[in-house]
Amino acid sequence: MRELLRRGYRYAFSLTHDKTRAEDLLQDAWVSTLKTGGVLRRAYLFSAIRSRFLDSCRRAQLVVFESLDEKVDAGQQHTPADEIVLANLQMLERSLSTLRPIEREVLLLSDLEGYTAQEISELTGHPRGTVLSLIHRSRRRLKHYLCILGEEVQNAERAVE
Amino acid sequence: MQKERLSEHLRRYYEEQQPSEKQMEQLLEMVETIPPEATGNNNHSTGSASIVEWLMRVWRGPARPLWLASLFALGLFISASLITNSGDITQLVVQEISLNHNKRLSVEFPVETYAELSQQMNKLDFMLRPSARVDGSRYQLLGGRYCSIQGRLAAQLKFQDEAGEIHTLYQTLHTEALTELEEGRVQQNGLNITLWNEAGLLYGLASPVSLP
Repeated sequence: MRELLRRGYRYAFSLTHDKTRAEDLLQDAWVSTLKTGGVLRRAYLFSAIRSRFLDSCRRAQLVVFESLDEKVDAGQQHTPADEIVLANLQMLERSLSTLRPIEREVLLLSDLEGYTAQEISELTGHPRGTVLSLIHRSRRRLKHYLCILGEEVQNAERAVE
Repeated sequence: MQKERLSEHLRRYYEEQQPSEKQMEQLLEMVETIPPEATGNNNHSTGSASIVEWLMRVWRGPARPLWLASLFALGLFISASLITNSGDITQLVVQEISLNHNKRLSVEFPVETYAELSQQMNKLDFMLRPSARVDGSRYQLLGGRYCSIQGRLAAQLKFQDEAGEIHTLYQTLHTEALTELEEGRVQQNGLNITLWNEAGLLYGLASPVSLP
């Protein structure tokens, strides 16, 4: 059950990118799952976290889940060089903060939780094709920010020398 | 510096993100307040026929008086459980309040009066009201923030008393889902938590346990 809580927290954190809000979300979802007698399973908890996150965004009138009705980038080539050099994890943290919640969400679900595109589609309600495109675009955007930050770090190092 | 796949960096980054141990313990404690079938860990593999056979064998056996006594005790236990069933929702609310209090989050709206706070916390679906049970002259309002009680939007108001101790007061609509909730005071996680219903609102006050 501890592992389930850890996973729930990471998922909440991927949506909020904020430790306090992630704890709040996890707590709300956990209480609601227990109250309704729901089964303590990953899918159930994730779904509760997601719906509470959307509620909180609506309450705060934040538009964070923009429409995903963009055309699927079917013609885009998958970048072969998926390997990157990372000076530190803070760079990744900063880059992730520039992504939209849905982009961080699909990256966590696919890369950490091992969800298939179909499973992500079932959780988020977006078509499978859109999910595939979103994963690809999110990775590309993340790499792009990381490259920019990497250059900044290199320039700063050169300036010090 | 070594090149790594982006997904490996992501995995490492997210694996470092953990809820606090305190929160984890408190959330795990909550599991004990719900029936075991909700955890999905039941393993009933015995068929109904074999259960009946077993019961009949036991009933005819030499320990019949002992089993009669056990059945009587079980009956008493079930009756007591039914009577105290309303304690579940109370316990959940108490745990939620203690969790919210112990997070010690800063206020989102730092104001000193109810009127200002009501004006700023305009997403609440009820009007914030001072309670007759809280002596306003003893507590200084420091502000408030949104929170939730049993999935409903609630307000957490932070007060400081003359001794400098921090108290948090929770207000939310007293809905049908809370009708089973029992009023009263309990101790939980080093706090005195008092719950009461007043003018259609549920109030919960969390104070350090050292205080009367």
